[in-house]
Amino acid sequence: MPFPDVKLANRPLHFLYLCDCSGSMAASGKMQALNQAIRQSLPGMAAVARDNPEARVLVRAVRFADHAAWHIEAPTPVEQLEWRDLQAGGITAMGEALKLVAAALQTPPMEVRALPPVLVLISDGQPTDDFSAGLESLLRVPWAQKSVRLAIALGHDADLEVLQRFIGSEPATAGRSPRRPLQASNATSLAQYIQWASTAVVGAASMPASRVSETPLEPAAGNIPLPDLPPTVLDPTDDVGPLVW
Amino acid sequence: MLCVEMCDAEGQPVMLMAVADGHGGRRYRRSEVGSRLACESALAVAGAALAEAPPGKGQGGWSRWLAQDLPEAVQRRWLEAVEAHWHNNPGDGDFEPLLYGSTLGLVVMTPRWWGHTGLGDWDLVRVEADGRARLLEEENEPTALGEATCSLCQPRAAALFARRAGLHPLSPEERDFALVLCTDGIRKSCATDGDFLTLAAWLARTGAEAAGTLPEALDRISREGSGDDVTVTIGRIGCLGEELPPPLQAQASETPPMKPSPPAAPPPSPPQRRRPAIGRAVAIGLALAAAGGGALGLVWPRTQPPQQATPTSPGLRAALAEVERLCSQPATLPLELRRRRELFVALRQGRQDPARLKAAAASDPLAALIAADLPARDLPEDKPPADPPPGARPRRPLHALGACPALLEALSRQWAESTAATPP
Repeated sequence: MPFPDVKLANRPLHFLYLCDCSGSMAASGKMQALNQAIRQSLPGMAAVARDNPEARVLVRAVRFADHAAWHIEAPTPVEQLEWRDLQAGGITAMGEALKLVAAALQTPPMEVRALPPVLVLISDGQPTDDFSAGLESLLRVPWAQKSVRLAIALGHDADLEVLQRFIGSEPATAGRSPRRPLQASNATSLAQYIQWASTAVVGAASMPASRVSETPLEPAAGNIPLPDLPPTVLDPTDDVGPLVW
Repeated sequence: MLCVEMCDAEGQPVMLMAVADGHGGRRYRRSEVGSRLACESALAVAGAALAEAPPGKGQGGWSRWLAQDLPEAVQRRWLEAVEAHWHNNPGDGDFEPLLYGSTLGLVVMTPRWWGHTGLGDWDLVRVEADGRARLLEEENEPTALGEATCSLCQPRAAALFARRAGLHPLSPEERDFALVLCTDGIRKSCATDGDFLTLAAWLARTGAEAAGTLPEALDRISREGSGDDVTVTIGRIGCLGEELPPPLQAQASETPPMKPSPPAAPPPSPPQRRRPAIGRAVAIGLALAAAGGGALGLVWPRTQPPQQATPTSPGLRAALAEVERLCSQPATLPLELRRRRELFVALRQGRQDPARLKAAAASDPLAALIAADLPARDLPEDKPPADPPPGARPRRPLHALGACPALLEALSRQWAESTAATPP
C-alpha cells in the first residue's frame, strides 16, 4: 500500500518584533541603530532557518508611537524579508501594540502545530497608554503564554519594570541568573542583542526539546531554554560602542 | 521492546504496547535511557500484574488498576531502574531522576476489554475496519505549555496517569479495529489533524505484513515533517489488516475526490461477528531529522447541507463554508472544538459577547458558529431566544446553516464539558 496522500510539513516559527518608534528614538541615532541592527541580522537569521529545516521561520513587526500598527503584517519567510526603515515620532502606545499582537496570536490565524512564537519588545521609554491592559490582553492568549518573550531596553530612560513584566518573572536556576531585560547602551550592544535574538534564540526555538511541565514543586524554567548571551554582551564593561545612550 | 504478547492468569491472550519519548536538551541528557527504561518498566509491571491477577477482577477493578495501582508501580519501578543505571554508569554531579525524564503511554488489550494509561504528549488513535480513524487520547494538561509535557521524573507523576487512563469493554459484536499509539512527533509532522488521522489509518492498515517498509515511512514522516523523533506501536483487535477493505477515498462517493481516485481496491469482506481476537502488533521507533512537503487529499463521507439561497454577506458565506468544512471532516470535529474550549467557557460565563463574535464571522467563522450555538439559557438577558411554536422541537440556529449531526453532537458535547469547567 503506497504512502498515503497526506501533507507533511515543518512547523511554523513566528518571530515578532515590537519596535518603539516614539520621538525619543530619533535622539542619538537610536532609530537608525535599530533599523541597521535588524537589517544586518537578517542574513544570520536566514542561515539559522536554513540550518533548521524542521521549522519555517516567519517574521512580522509592529511599530508603536502615537498608535500601534503593523510594519510587516504578513508572516514573511525570513529569506524573503526586506527590512524597510522605521521612522521615529510620537508617543509610546506600547499597550496598544501588545493588543495588536494578542489578536495576531489567536488560533486561527495561528496554526495549532506552530512552535512557540518569539516576541522581541524593543523600547527606550515608558508606555504612555494603558500598558497593563495591553499585557493582560496578550497574556490571556494561549500562544502568548507559550511564547518566548525578550525585551531590549535602549538607554537609561527605558522602563525596566515594564519590560520585566512583559518577559515575565523567571526564577534563578543553578548556574543562571533570573531573566532580565537586555540593556543596550549603544549601537554595538543593540546589534549584538538583535543578532542573538534572531539567531541563537531562533535556533533554540526551531528545534525545542520537550521538557517537564510546571508543577507546584517545580516551577517552569521558561518555555524554551534560552541559549547563553555572547560573552561581550554578558559583561557591559566590555562594551566599546562609539556612543552611549 | 515496545510490545509484549502474553497470556493472563486465565490463559487468555493479552497484548501490551508502550511508547515513551525522552525530553531533549542538557537537563535531560539521559532521557534516551529513561525512555527505554520507561517502556521496559511499564511492560514488565503490567505484564506481571496481568499474569497474576485473580479471576473475577471486574472492570471496575481494572479501571482502578489503570488509573492508580499500575501507575504507582510503574513509576516506582522506573525510579529504581534509572537510579540503578546511574550507579552503574555514574556521571558528573548527583543522581536526579530529571536526567532521565520521559513520557510514557501504555495500552493493554485483552479479549474482554482494552485500556490505556500514561502521561505526557503521546497520542492514541482508533482505526475502524472501514478506515475511519478518530483520536481517542491526547495530552490536555493545563500546565503543559509550549513544548512542556508531563514526565515520569516529576515527583507526583503517578497521580498524573489518572487523566490519561481509560478502560473500554469489548463485546462480541464490536467490529474489528486497530489502535495506533504514537509519540508526539507523528502528529506534529502532519499539516492538519485530518492528515494525522489519515496517516494513522494508513499505518494501522499497512500493518505487520509491511513492517519492512514502516521504518522508511517513519523516516519520511520525520524528514518531511517536524524533524522530531517518531515512535509508533500498532495493535489490532479482530482481523483488521488480514483482509483490507478499500481505502475510504474510494468509498466517499457523495463528494468528488480532490485528487484522482486511487486504483480500485478489492471489495470489502462482509463484517464478521465473532469474539474479538487479539491481533498482531507492530512496534517501530525512530529518531531522524530533515524537512520537505507533500500534498493533501482525503474526502470523508459527509451529510449534504440543505439547499441554501446564495449568501450575500461575507460573514454568512464564511459561516456556511466553515460548516461545510467541519462537516466534511467529522473525525477532527472534537479536536477542533476542544481547542476552543476557552471560548465555550467564556461564552458560558458571559465574558464573551456572542453578538460580537457573530458579527465577526468573516474573520473567525468557527467562533461565530460556536456563539450562534450558545444554549438559550446562557444567552444575555437582553437577547432572549424566540419561543418555538407549541409542540415544535426547538431548532438550533446551526440547523439553518446546514450543520450535520456530527457537528451538532460535537458542539453539544463541548458545551457539556464547558459546563463542568465553569464554577457555579
